[in-house]
Amino acid sequence: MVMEQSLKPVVDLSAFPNSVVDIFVELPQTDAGTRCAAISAACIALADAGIPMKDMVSSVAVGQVDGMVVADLNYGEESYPAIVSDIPVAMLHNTKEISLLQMDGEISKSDLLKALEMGKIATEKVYLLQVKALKEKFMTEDKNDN
Amino acid sequence: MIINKETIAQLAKENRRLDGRTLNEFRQPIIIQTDISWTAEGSVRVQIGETVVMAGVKLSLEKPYNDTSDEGGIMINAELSPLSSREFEVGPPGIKAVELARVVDRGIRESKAIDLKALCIEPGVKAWFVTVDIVSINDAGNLLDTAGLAALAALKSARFPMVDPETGAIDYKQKTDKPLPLTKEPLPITVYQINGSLLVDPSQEEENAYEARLTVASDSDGTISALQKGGVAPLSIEQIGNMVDLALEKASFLRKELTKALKK
Repeated sequence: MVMEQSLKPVVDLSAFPNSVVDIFVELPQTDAGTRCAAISAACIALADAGIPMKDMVSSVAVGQVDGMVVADLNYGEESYPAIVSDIPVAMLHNTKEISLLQMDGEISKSDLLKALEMGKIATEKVYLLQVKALKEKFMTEDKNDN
Repeated sequence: MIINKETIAQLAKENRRLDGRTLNEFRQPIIIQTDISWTAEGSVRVQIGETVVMAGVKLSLEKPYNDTSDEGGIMINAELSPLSSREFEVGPPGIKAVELARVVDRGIRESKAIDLKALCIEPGVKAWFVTVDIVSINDAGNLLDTAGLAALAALKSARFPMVDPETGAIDYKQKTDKPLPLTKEPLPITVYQINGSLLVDPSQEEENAYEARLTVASDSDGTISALQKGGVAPLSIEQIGNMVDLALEKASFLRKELTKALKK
């Protein structure tokens, strides 16, 4: 459900009435941040499938571990025995709007806003990688055609 | 006049609501009635406007999980019963019930509101397990916040049952005056965005017209313990900040109501 909500704002299905797009995600190996990786991957897959989209969605978890605001928490950080908060964020690239926001743990409002600003920078990095992956795929296909 | 999404959206833009409330106003009456069930360790009936939710706390002694052998446990279930709304059907919990239980559960579990270690009696052998059951009686909008308030009220009013020191058997008919080891009191408030305006405590019509919502569970000192965004519209960081502000303000308002009710 969270994945659907985070991708829905960018996917334009108006050209396909009465049809459903299924996205399947498998997690062969996990070390926290799975839903973020899944959303980022699903967004590439949607673009690769040629589904009309208004924007790209990039996702990363931010949070606070023992007083420090960090991005992309791993399992060790998530389960660190201190005050920890884990905030999965998905961001639309062009508008910088947030389509996924969840949080577990403990955080003050000012740290939350700080973490979200950090999320802006971190999702930008994910975005560049997503675009790179898409471009690379089509470049190799071009070479094969020649 | 036909009341539909557009009517609600148009009104929201003008900072007005169908029932005449202001955007950040909760419905009245807010009634919190504790000890409604004699068989539960804690029970409460919460009413906000016409929305009614009951919550009960049940305690049982069980063997702790292997990976947390020195801790008890907590489980939160929600049932949206068909009697409370024409939208709910009999059968396994739907997506709304699951989300409701998850949001309330996360607010309580992840903020470590209950000291699970204090629930342990003998590591690896025996610990208290807390089950909170939430049942909707009448859904007139804002089940989420009503359920969250009910869960917290039920946990606060719960008392441990008597345990026979020799046999270890629980006598559910006798209660001690020992409350649950609550270290925090997380209370969820959901802020809705309709046509760009922020509002709280939506009616059912308003719930069908929102673009985005953000549930913010917070403790009495204003620390945020859980967030959950819903709805299709994406939000900017600034909007999220505004929503959190409104949620914190309303949480302290409901918390006062709860304190008042529990004092009686």
